Amino acid sequence: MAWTYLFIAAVFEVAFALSTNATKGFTRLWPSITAVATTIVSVYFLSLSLKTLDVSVGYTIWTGLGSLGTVTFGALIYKERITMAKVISFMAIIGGVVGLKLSAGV
Amino acid sequence: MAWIYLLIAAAFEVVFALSTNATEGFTRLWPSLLTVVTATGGVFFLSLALKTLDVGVGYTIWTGLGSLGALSLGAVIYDEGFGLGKVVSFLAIVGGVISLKLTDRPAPPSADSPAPTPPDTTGTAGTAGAPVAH
Repeated sequence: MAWTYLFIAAVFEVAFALSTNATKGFTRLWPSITAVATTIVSVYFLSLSLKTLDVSVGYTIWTGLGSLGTVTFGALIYKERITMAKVISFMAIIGGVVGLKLSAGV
Repeated sequence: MAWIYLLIAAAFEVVFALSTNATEGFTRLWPSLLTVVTATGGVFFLSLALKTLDVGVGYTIWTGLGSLGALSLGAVIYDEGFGLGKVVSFLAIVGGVISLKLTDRPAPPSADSPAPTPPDTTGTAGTAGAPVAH
């Protein structure tokens, strides 16, 4: 069940990032309401999953899936360009986060 | 300015990550309050940064630097030390952020450029369309 909670949290995290992008600095009402609602739901489900999952595993997967989803849907919805340099940079950051958590858990 | 906002947002994210760990499913009051306050500050500054930055870039750096800061502070607070794995991961995140920063720059007017672009003297240009001598 913890993994289901974690996956739900990651989905809401992507929705949060995409709606935050649409708030224009929280000057637009509905994207702002969506951003606040999705981040509350996201963090709540994350905290549920962390009751049984190790925080190093849970937090890493949460933000890792969040990044992958945000980059993917940012390209699809907001037409953000994805270059090879960007892909390598994203992999370095996400890989670095995973590496940090792995070496911290040992 | 967007990158300054993004760094401030990441700083909030560091405190948010550390305090979330202490909430135990939001059953403890003060860590929960601190989590809400820092999450609000982080998200607000992220939204300012995203006015000009791509959401894929902004979000990834926000969480990447957040993790880096949280793990580093955690290592200092709990006296865990920095092994090779952490150093390599640390450098990968910082390198990724810097390269995103560099590639993000939308071709600024090159006022500082020391030399103008030399004319193409390689002699290869135009050969594709050139008439071929019999």
